[in-house]
Amino acid sequence: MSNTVFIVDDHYMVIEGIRSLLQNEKNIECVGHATNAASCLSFLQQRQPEVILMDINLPDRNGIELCREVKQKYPAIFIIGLSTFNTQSFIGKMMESGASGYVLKNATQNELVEAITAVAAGKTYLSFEANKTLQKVKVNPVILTRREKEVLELIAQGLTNNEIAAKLFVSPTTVDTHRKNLLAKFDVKNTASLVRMAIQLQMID
Amino acid sequence: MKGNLVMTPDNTLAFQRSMDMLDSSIKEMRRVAHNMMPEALVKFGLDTALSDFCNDINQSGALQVNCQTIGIKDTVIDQTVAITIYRIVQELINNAIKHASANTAIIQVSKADDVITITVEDDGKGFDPAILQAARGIGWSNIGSRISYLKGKADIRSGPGKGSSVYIELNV
Repeated sequence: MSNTVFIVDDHYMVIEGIRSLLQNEKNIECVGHATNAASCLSFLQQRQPEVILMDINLPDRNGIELCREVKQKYPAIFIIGLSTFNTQSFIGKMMESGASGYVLKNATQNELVEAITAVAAGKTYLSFEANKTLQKVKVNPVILTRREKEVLELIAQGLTNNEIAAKLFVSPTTVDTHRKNLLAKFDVKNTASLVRMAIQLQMID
Repeated sequence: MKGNLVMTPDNTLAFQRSMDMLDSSIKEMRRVAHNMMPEALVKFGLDTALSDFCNDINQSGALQVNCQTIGIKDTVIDQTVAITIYRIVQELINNAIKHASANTAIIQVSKADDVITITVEDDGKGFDPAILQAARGIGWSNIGSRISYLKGKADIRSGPGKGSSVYIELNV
């Protein structure tokens, strides 16, 4: 039983390259290719492969939109994003659109085969480098700029916007902007809860 | 090429060298063009472009950058303004790497009503802000003209050994 694979990429050399990487794999069968989104969709009306390798840059539409549409119409098809872009946003958007995997075009034959097999089995797969890029993005704790720290301390001392402005040689509206940003960062609604949160997090004494 | 032309070994070497130079110029040009109009900015907007920019810097190991945006994600920012902000941030971070030899930096861009603020801080060498009056560097003058183009104002705090903190307010 082999996994059927369909390739969507606007470059013939890429398509042929992938085909030749996969031709000796007994468990993977390339059932066709498309060089744009429209012909991909019309192929899918005839036949649905198990896995689609999908480039992100297509001439008529981008792969992220195409991915979403294919997943809506044919939820059973698994999609692997295929791109030279190793940036968090592209990888993230592709996965958000329903892709099950992401492989960079510098992937090795092993990675590609592994990706197809894993995805066809319902797992998610990120190629080594894509994975590394995603992992670098961590959830940030509250980080304040120096100016925000100054403003926060003066707020905690009970000074008004005008008093803080005079002390820091900035305009009162600037102080207010800092105050608003502080509220947003601590995710609180008013100055009193801001000060309480800041004390809890030991950002002021 | 070699088949059709008779070249002395010296010429061959010069020819090879020219080809190499051409190759590296093309590479450089592609890099510049890509930087001129970051793909993520056009496709996904300022928030994503900035976080990609930071990820790239962090991965390069030149500097550890923390990037925060407030109120940027769900608002529409005019593309000219977005590009201007992106450029300013890029230039300031560039300075932190090139001149300040900083280890860490913070980038923060926020939008509330019609005010956009940009804060870029680093823990590098620092400098006396007064020297900027006389500075002829292209970096600062570009930042300055970008800020005045958007009718904004900048407040620069720094001192030798104190890192630097640049705060920019734009009315859009």
